[in-house]
Formats: sequence, structure tokens, C-alpha cells
Amino acid sequence: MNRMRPSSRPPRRVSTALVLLASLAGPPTALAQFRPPPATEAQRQSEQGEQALVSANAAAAKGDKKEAEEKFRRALQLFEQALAQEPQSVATAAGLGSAANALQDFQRTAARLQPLYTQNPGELSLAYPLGTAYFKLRRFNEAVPLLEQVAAADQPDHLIVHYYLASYYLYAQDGNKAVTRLQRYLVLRPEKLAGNDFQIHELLGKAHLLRRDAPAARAAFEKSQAGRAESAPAQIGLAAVLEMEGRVPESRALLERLVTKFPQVAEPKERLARLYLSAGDVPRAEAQALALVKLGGTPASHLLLGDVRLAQKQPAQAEAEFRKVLELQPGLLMGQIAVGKALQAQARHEEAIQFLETAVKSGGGSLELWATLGSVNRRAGRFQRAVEVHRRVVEMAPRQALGWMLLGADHFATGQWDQAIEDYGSALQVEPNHPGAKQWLARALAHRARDRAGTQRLDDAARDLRRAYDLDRSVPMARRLGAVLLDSRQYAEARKVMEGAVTLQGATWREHLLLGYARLGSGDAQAALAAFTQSGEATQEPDQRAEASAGAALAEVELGQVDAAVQRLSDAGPSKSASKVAEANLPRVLVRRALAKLEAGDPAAANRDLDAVDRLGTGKRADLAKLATFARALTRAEEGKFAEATSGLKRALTPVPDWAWSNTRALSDAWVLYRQGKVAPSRKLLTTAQKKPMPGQPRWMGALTGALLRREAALAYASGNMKASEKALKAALAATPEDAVVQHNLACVDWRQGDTSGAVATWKRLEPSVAVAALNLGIDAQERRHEPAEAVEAWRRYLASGAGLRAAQVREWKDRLQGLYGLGDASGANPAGVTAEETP
Amino acid sequence: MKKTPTFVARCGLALFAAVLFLVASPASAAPKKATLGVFLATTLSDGQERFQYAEALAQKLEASLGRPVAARSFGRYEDFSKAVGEGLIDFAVVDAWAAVQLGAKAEPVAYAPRAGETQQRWAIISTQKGSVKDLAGKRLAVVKGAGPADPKFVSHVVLGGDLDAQKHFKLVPVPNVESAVKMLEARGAEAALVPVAHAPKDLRVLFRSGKVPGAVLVELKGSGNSLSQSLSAVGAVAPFDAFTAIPGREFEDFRKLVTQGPPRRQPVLADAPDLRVETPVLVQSESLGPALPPFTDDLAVTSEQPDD
Repeated sequence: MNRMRPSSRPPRRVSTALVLLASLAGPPTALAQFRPPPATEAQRQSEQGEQALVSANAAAAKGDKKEAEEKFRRALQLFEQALAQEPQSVATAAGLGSAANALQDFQRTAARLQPLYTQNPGELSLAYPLGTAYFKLRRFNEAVPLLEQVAAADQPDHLIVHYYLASYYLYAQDGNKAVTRLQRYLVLRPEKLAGNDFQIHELLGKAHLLRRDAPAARAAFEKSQAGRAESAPAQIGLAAVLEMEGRVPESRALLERLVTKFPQVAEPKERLARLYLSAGDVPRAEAQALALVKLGGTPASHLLLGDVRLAQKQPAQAEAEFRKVLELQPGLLMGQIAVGKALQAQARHEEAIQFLETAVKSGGGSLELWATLGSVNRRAGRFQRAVEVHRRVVEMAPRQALGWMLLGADHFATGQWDQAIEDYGSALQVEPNHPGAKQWLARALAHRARDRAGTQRLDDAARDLRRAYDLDRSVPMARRLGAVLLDSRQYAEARKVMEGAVTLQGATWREHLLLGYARLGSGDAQAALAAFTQSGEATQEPDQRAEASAGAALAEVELGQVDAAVQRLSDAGPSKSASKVAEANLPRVLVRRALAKLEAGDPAAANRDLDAVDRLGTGKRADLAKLATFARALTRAEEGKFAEATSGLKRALTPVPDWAWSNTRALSDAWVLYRQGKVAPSRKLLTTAQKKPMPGQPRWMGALTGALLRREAALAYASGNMKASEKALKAALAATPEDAVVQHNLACVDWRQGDTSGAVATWKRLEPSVAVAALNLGIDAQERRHEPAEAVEAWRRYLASGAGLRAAQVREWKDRLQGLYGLGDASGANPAGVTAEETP
Repeated sequence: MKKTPTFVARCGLALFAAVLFLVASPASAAPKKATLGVFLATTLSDGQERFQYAEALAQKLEASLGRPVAARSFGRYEDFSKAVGEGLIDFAVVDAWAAVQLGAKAEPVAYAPRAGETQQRWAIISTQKGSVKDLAGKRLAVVKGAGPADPKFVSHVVLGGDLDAQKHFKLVPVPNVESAVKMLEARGAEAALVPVAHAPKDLRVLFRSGKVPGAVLVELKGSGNSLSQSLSAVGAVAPFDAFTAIPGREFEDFRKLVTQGPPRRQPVLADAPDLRVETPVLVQSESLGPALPPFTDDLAVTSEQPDD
């Protein structure tokens, strides 16, 4: 390094030249008037100092150290005297700095030059010696800005600055800046120094390794090696390149060769041991580490051996090694961290914290130290301190994910999900592909989602889990998202998620079950049944199969396979969850089946189901109880028990339950009155209900209107009020002009009112669809036209149609006419009938 | 239409009524002598049988009512009618259509069923082939049972209003079933109207009626309460079964049918099926949907912690 120290050229020369230039350029008159003031004592001393400095450098160049040191001291003395008289003289101070630096008296340089530099910022003649002094004093924070300033001026005289900066940047692990400085150095260095370029290439290789640029690093190391006997540093660099390229066996082979070839060189041993260690080959690592220590107890060797001891689960021995590191190099960061870790490995958390706190206080404020200190605090349960320390890490390295990851872990440990999520989010902002950040962000989101779901904030929970699932497309995450979507009744969304989940590696019966419920919720019962079936087939556990079966039952209900479903739900199996599903659904399913039976006109079956509901009970679900009451009331009406029906409806619908429409009361009462034959009050309620029809109601309301008109017409007809009957039938026909029954009945009214031929024509036309038309044609034939043969024929057709209620009556009529008039059955289809020929 | 004479045996109801009789305790009656009349010109075809029945029934009634009961059997409508008119009869067992003619003064108390039947069919029998229609203008022997009501019974009840007996036939009154059959054999008539049970095997049945009430017990004096209460103890008297109550207004309907005839047939309205409820019209469908289980457990997370 001495070799590269630049000759301390006096900057005064420049200023002298400038003065000369100015005097030449100036106007002659001004020149004539210019009288340089007489030199002061201080100026003289300073000039003498300059001369002494020149002599000293010359002596040094000749290799006469003694002479050089003597001259430097002389120069220093002169500059000190001059500066004492003229403290503002930049040139004197610069000279003093050069002399003091040459004498390694960096403290003096720092003390004398700093005040003056503060007054003259940007003054390179001061920045150079001052920056150099700080650098030598390892006061990098002060040194680097000054040295950067000098480097930016790019003066060949200050070539060494580039080297200083490069070595600092290598130390600070900033590969890019190191490369810049090293390349600048190569450009600026005089030809006579080219012989040492291999060293610069070596450093360049290391810088490229920091940049993780393997090809550039390889090129640099190869240049360093070129034309020389095999060099350990260059070869070690190449081994590092191989390791970086993932060619670990080659790297290891190279190192194994190097440890033999260069048995006295430490680094190959260390690197090789580290390779063994990370491959889990602890015995070989130990062998190399012990060899390394034997070679010389360097900090690195003890650090390695300590790590080996840690790997051997001997934290106490590790601690001893690490403490040796610190004995050899007090304050060495790696050593301090290592001791901290060794203490923690012995569960001596407080000691570890204290140790690292002391290390931090003693000024070794490195990123890793702070990081370790924070984590040690976290593991010791001192979360507040951990967060505090890790915030420092973020401040120190805001462009790295490290600090945020550590903060995330602290907040994760205390369940502060909001902060943890924010931390990991920040980590991803600076390092978008950080795998740990993605993983733990997803997990923190899952934790928060669970808490949010617990307080019914389902939408927020779903949002968290969506984000988590985007980060971590795993089966458990998909299941969580699907579950929260199901709980918040977003069935279509849940279905999308679960359809994807069952295709993922590791999907289980549970994912199929959730898919089944999602499909069921979104109204696709067929697909739901398939999923439940698959769920049941995916497991052998009786409990899980029972859960799948319960789900299948719910799907079957929707598919109309209610009996099968009731069977399944009645025998839910061993699982508690399945029993709960059954319990929650069986009464509902039965009420629903009862309503379906009513629609099909089977009140007895409806009653049976409702009896079963009464036995099972509806638990705390008041709405379901009321629905059962409602169904029972409708059943009573179907059975003709109208008073019970009406009171049941009132009980079921006051106050109006959630399942009822606003007009359900009016409509159901209207229906009961209709069944009772109370046309006018029924119609009144229907009209009320029709003012605000609900979806799906208008068609049925129309049907009830028609039914009421028909009922009204029938009642009027029975009481002989043909006008009223006609009016009602015509109104009914206006709504449904194609209704054959209404047309037929209107013909009956016509017949009664004398329009017999029109009526007969209508009956004849309608006979294929309305059986009673044949009966009426018979009546017309016998009563009006006295044509017993025609009547018999018509009634025979009526009876052949299988018409029910009046068959016995009509058969008697027919038989009597046949007996009286000797009319046999034309087709012989009814030989059992009494005929004239027959004898008893 | 529902008033047309279709009398279906209602054994169930009859049994029920019998039970009622058993429960009711008979009040002790005054020891005044009562007279039972039996006029069964068509239901029983044998005079001796009618006499024996009257005697046996009187005995039973006497025991049941706790007062003397005399029996009088009538072979001819004229005799029976006269006795009733003179107030000699307290209660009587008569053919239903004959009871109708007695009007309001005869209160029907119970049927006297035979072989479990309270009703019987009537037949128009003839020695010749053919149909009723072919007998237009021919003589029909009809048992004289109810005076002026006889032709109405034939037209309204037996012929169901589909044929006017007086216009179609020459009605020949005879005292009883035996004489009706004999009239036919003697060619005093071309046809005769008799209960199906009494139609001789060698004669042709040209027509069979619907079911018509048979013998009925009527009370001609008093409320009928005490009599009906005593009947349960009477039991069966051959050839009849035990008396059974007359269901509802069945006898009144029969009386109306006999006197007024069946109502004219009127066209019948076709019934549209009753409107049924439709669940979605009355119940919001979502509330009937499945109740899904909670899935909160699926949100569980591992206790794994990040570390560096």
C-alpha cells in the first residue's frame, strides 16, 4: 500500500501559476500598479515547509526512510508554526495534512484540517488529506464523502482515492460502487504501475461476486491469474464463482486441490469447511476447521470452528471459540453476532441480549448485528425492544427486505397482524420476489382473516384470504378462502375457488365437501351431489363419510329425492358435524316435503311429515316453527277443517315472519275462503293481495281469480240463478278463452236459458275433452227430445270415459231406460246390464 | 237430482241406531191396550205368513212395551184404510209406499229389514217376450196398496219418471202379490208389478227397478218416542230382522219422490279441479333452501412462526 501512496505534490504550485496567469492577463496599467505585499513570517515558514516536504518525498522515493522521516518532521514543524500564525491558510493546512499523514499522525490531520475544511467546503486540497486521515482512522462515515469528492475531480495525483474507496465498498458489500472505483483506477493509473494490475483484477472479481455477476467475476479472476503461476487468491475466487453458479461439486473439488497445493493458505480451508458445513458434512468441516486453527488462530478460523461446534450442538464450546474471535479482533461484528447466537443456543437469552446490546453500543452498528440483536430480543419475548431494534435495521437498509422481514416476524410473534401484514408488504415492495415475504404475508393474512371471521367481519376476512391465496396457491389457503366465502354466502365465488382447489396437489375429501356446499349454495344440486359423492369416496374415516353423506342429503332434497334425503338425515352417522347438519335440516326438509305433498293434493302425507316435525322439534328456529304451523293450516283447509286452518294461518303469520311475502296472509286466507266456498270475501282478500304482487305470484293469482269465478258460477247455477252464473262464467272465459270446462259450463247455462241447440253443439264439440258433456247430451236427449236410445248411447259414452262421481247415478238412468225401452248394449260391451231378454 | 230415489242400505247407520235403542231405557207405559196393524200386501206374499208375523210381533211388543198389544192382519187395502180411518190402529207395519199414502198421521219409526235389506227392487213380469215399451196399452196388474198414490208410485218410483204408467198401461188393481201373479196366469193382465223376490221363476222379468224401501213400522197415535225406545228389546221377528232406524230424511225423500216424482234432469256443470296452493307463491323460496353448516373451523391456522 505504501507503494501506492501518491507523492504529496504541493498544491501551491497551482495557485502560483494562477497568480502569474492573472498578472499576465491583466491590463498593463494595473500591472504597473500591482505591488505584491511583502511575504509574512508565516508565509515564509509555509514555503519552507513546502520545500521540506519536497525533499522528504524525494528521499522517500529513493528509499531513504530515515532522511524522509526527518524531512517530514521538519515540514510538519514548519507548517504547524505557520498555521499558528495564520490559522486561515488553506495552503498551510494542506501541507500540514500531507506531512502528518506521511508520519501516520492521522489524528493530527483530522484535528487541524476539519475546522478549516468546514469553512471551505469543497476545497480539494483539504479534502484529500483529511479524507485519507479519516479513512486510515476507519472513520468511514466521515471519510467516504470527502474521498468521493476528491474522486469526482478525477485527478491523476489523487489516484489512490479510487483504491481507498473500492476497498471500502468491498468492505461495505457494495459491489457496484467498488467496480466503478476499480475500473476508474485502471484507467487513471500510470503505466509504470501496470505490473500490479492483477491485484486490481482480483478485487474486481470480488466486487463482481458481490454483484452476483458470475461471468464478470470469472473474467476478472482469470485476468488476475493470466500469465502468472497458479495464484491462491485467483483460484479461490474461481471456486467462489463455481459455487455461485451452483457447481458446488466442482467448487469443492477445486478447493480440495487448493488446500493440498497451498497448505499454508487459510482461505481455501475456510471455504471448503463452509461448503462441508452447509452440506451437513460436519466431521469433514471439523477437520478443516481444526487444520485452519492450527495454521494460525485467526478470527476467521475460530469463527469457523465455533460454527462447527454449533452444528455439533455444542453451544458452550462454540461460545468459547467465538469469544476467542473477539479476543483476537475485539468488536468484530461476525464474532459478536456469533457469541450472541451461541448464548441464545444455551437459552441464556438475557446474556445474549446484553452482549449484543454492548456490541451495538460500542459502535459496531452493522446491519447484521442490529438484526441479530432484535431477533434475540424477540426470542427472549422482549418484543418491544425487538421492534425498536429492527426498525433501526429498516432505517439502515431501506432498500432491503431484511428489516421488514424481521419486523414482520416480531409482529407475527405477538399476533399484531395488521402491522405484520404491512411489514411483509413493505418487504415485497423493495424485493418483489422475496419468497419468505410472500409466504409469511400469506400466513399473516390467514391469521388476520381467522380473527376477522371470528368477529363476523366476513367480507374483510374474504379480502385477506383472496390476497393470501394469490400469494400462496396451496390447498389449505384455498380451503380457508372457500370456507369464508361459504360463510358469507358468496356461493358463486366460493365455487370458483373450490373448483380450482380440488385440482391442486394434495386436495382432500374436505375440499370436495366444501365444493359440494358451494355448488349447492349456487343452486347446482346435481353437481353438488357429485362433489359430495367424491368427498365420501376420498376418505375411509366414518366421521368424514358421514359429513359427506349429510351434504349429499341436502343436494338430494334440492333434486326432489326427498325420501332418500330424509332417510340419510334421519340416520346421520357418527359425526357430530353431520348430526348438526341433519338436525338443522331435517325439520326444514320435512316441512318442505309437506308443502310439496299439499301441492300434489295429499294432505294425509303432509300431515305425517308435519307430525314428524313436531316430534323432532324446530329448536330455536321460530321461523321454521311458524312455517310448520303455516303448512299445517293449509293442510287443515285441504281437509275441510276451515276454522282450524284460519286460526293456524293467523298464528303462523303474526307477526309476519321472514319467509312470508307481505301479502302471504291475504293470499292464504283468500285460498282458505275459496276452499270454503266463500267467494265474495275470498275475492276481496285476493284483490288486496293483487295490489302488490310478488315475483311468481301473478299466474297463481290469475288461477285463483278464475277458480273463484267458476265457484261463483257453480253456486249460482245450483241455486237456479242463471244470470249470475252466466256473468261469472263469461268473466272467467274472458281471462281464459280456451278453457273447455268454462265453455262447457256456459253451454249448460245456455241450455237452461233456452239456447238448447247452441248448448248441444258446444257439448258435442267439447265431448272429447270434457266427459260431462256426454252426460249432458244424454240429459238433453231424454229430457227435451225424449230420445231414450240417444240418451242411453250418450250415457254409455260418459260411463266409458271412466268419469267418477256420477257414474252410479248415470248407470241407473241408463239401465232403466234400457230396461224400459228394450235397448241392448250396441257393442255388447256391457253384457252384465239388465236386458229385457234376461230372466233372473 | 239428489232427491231421486236411490236408497242404499246403510247397515252401519242402522247398527248405530240399534245401539242407541239399547242405551235408551224404556219408560213404563200405561197399561192401555194397543193395536198393531200389519198390512204387507206386497212384501209378504202369503196371507198365513202375514198373520203369523202380526201375532208374533204383537207378543214381542207387548213384552217390550209392558202393555197388552193386539194384532190385526189386513189382506186388503180397503180394510186397513178403514181401520186406520176409524182410529183402531196404534201402530202398523206396512209397505213403504203404502205408508206414504197414510200421510202426516203416520209417523215412520223404523224399517223392518229382510235378509239385511231395508230396500227391495220391483220387477215388471210378463208371460211374454218383449220390453216395457212393447206393453203400450196393455194391462198391468198393480197391487192396491195406497189408493190414489198407487199410480204415482209406479210412475215416479218404479219407472223413475221416465214413463207415465197411467198413460202407457191400463192399470189393473189387485189386492196382493199372490193375486197379481194369478191375474197374469189367468190372462187377466199382460204384465204385473211385483217385488223382485216374489217374481215366479217361470215368468219373464221385463224390467227391474232401482231399490225401494220395503216394510216400515209407523206409529199412528202418539209421539213414536216410546215405541222407538221399546224396539230394541223386540229383536228379530220372522221373516224380518230386528227393526232398524230410518237414516236421516230418507223416508221423507221417498215420500216426496212418490208424491211429486223425480225432479227433471238438468245439465250438470263440469268440475274443474280445485286450485291447490303453490309453495313459492306463499313462501319465499330462499328460506326453504338448505341450512349449510358453519365452516369456521376451516379457517384454522398453524402455530408456525417466522424466524431468521
